[in-house]
Amino acid sequence: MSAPTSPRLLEGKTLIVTGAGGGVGMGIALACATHGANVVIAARRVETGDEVAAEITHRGGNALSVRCDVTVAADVTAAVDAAIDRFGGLDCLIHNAVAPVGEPHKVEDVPDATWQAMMSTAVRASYYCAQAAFAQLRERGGTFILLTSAAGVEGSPYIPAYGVVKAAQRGLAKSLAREWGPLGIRVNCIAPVAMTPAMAVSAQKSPVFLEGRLMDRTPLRRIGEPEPDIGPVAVFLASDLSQYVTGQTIVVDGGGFTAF
Amino acid sequence: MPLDEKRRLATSRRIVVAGSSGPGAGIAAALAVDGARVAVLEPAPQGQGTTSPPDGALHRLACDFASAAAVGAGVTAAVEALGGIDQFVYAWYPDELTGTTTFTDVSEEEWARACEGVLDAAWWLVRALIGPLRASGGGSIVFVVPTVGLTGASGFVMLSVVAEGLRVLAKGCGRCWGEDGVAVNTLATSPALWVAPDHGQRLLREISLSVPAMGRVGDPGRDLAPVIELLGTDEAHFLTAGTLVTDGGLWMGL
Repeated sequence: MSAPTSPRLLEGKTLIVTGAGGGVGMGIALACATHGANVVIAARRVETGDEVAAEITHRGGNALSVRCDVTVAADVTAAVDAAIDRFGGLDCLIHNAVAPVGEPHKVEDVPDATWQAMMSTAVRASYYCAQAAFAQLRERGGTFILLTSAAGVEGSPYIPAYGVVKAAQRGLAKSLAREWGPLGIRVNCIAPVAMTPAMAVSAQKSPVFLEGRLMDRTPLRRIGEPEPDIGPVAVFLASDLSQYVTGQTIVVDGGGFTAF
Repeated sequence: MPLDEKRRLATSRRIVVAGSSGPGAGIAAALAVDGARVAVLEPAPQGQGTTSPPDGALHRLACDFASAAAVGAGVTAAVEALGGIDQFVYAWYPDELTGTTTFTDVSEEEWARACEGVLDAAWWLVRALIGPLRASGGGSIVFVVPTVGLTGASGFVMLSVVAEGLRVLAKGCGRCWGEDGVAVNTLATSPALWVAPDHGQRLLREISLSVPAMGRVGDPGRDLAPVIELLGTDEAHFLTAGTLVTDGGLWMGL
């Protein structure tokens, strides 16, 4: 008896993944490409985007690297246009990019620049992404996915600004799901915990890492990996398997957050 | 009410962010009637420093919410007017948030001004308030939000973004300041209080198949202000970072 072959759930679909030059965004891009998607790698640093696109091509997939600063409306629009020009349309936009969370701070000590960077990459950029993708998503019955966080549900004493903007994105997803559902567009969130290069740097100064508390509260006793752990959930939400799922946040964190 | 508690309320000093009408104004008026001294920070662009004569226990101060410096100045003026602060209540949303708008019709300018502007203002407010609250030996912060952040609401995307952002700002502040004796909570209220009546009824149908268990959506002074008062008392000192759904028993998703 032969082993079952994994179906290619995104065959023929075109996605944009912002912040796909590394970390969770890269993992999602690779996972989606493995499932047959044409993936537009939207990265602020084009050299990192090029590397991810090259890896997808090396694996036999289809990818396009575009330079995209998500805080610039024209860049986001250009990424959508590039998807249409290269692959004929857009079925899904996954907004993953966010500014570095920085060092742990109490609310009153968060640098102004950190707050502004959080607002621009999460709240303003979500507006840009949703506006730019809307016409294509409506035409093709597409999906809009936002990367958020359990910190956006339960708040954080270490990175409170991050919690606020991630909550704002959840508010956006829930209302857009209601507004766009009748138009055939689904909107969902993924709240991951994954070990990325940026997280590894932050971990050096984070009490939850230094004291082992994140691991202690994670039933599966490991920090997720972007491609094998987070990627499949993005594939599911981008695929027709989730055709009746909208307005939801799927927490992918090894079971640490169980409030839903 | 025990006499000691009446005395305590009579010396409470509260700052309320509210408009000149609407739920926030109703809450502020009720809190003042119940014995607290209340400074109302009324959003007013270019109105910084304008102060209306005290109306009984109610002080009205215009405050420009467009910058951290202006917000800080408004908080300082309010704290000085009251001689300190025991409780802060946020209960104001600009018309652009409480009026229905299709998301794709929202301009970038509107998004920045109304949606991000309120989140910015709230962020600056709590940062300006923590010093005076610590100086008072602790206190209470309450964000009054519509439940649209919990449920989502078509036509009110910006309001939903702001409401959910504020709710988690409360949690973050609650986590940061609990050991300072500052409790931070959210009152999640019926959206029908905040939007025009016809839209309110539609939103209630969108939220639930049921009608409010109490048969009404609530009155700011009669139904919400007492809960806010409770959160300002010693009896509620161990309650922080919570969401109290005070919508008359409609949304029961928690």
